[in-house]
Amino acid sequence: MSPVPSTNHVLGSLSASDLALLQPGLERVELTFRQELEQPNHVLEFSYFPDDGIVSVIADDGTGRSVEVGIVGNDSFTAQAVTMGTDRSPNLSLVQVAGHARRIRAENLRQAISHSRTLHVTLLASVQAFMVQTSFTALANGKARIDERMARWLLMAHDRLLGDTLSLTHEVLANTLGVRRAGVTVGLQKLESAGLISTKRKAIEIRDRRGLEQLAGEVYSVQTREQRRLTGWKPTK
Amino acid sequence: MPLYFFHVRDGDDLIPDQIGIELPDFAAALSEARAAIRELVSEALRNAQGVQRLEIEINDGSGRTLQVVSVRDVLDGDQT
Repeated sequence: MSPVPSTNHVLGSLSASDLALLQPGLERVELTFRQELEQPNHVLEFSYFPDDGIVSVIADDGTGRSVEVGIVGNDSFTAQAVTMGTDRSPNLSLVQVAGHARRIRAENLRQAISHSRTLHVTLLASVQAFMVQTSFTALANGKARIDERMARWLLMAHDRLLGDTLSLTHEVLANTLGVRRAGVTVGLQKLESAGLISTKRKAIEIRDRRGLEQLAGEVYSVQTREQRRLTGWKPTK
Repeated sequence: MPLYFFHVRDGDDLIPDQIGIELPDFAAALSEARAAIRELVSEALRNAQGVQRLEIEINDGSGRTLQVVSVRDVLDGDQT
């Protein structure tokens, strides 16, 4: 492993022997904005364990309609389909906020899993947490207001990024929430006039975390509590 | 590509778009405004809020209003 230690929670939670199974195959890479980490129905090449940055997992129907179903940051890893016994998925994974990650070839991950049940179980706990996250995305998309959904997403991003100022454009928010830019304008204005955030040209500053949590309510708190129960990961902000 | 701004108006309240969107031409901007107002109206109705005074003002980069799209403009669906 390179001199910079990984801040990925999953890698950090592995036993020394499980980490040793992955270590030879792990390399530190950059995640660039809009880089595609998983392409729909293509054989998965790499699994990424982010140190920072945000990866969007997107359901895309191939006709121009798509919606983000979940995000992966330093709490988790991509190409989860590999841990589930398959080599591809119809989902798209796209870097929404640039950062860094450790990546490993899917084949090496598969090999390592076949040698260690505890490694597999650890990875599966994160996969289950991600599934719970996507179920709350479905609930939020179906029943919550745009400002509640926005509060939820900003909290999730804040949990996975350094600092309180998040490098997010209005365009990124529109894409992740699946709304038009005018909807983003209105949602952000609501959050800003409530003192919860402060918007800058290409960034959003989180000012009142508790307020955002109160606004988002259960569509943020339940999945977060469950992720902590399953994997030990908890937001530190 | 030209920059278009989509200010949201609800009666006397104005929420300005301070970022803008790059679009190929005015037809694209109009299409965006119509899609946006449909979405805002749906959201407001879902939340039991009034929609009658919702408008989107399309501005160009110099602050000039190009067109105002209101709720009534989208109530009959798209003609094409």
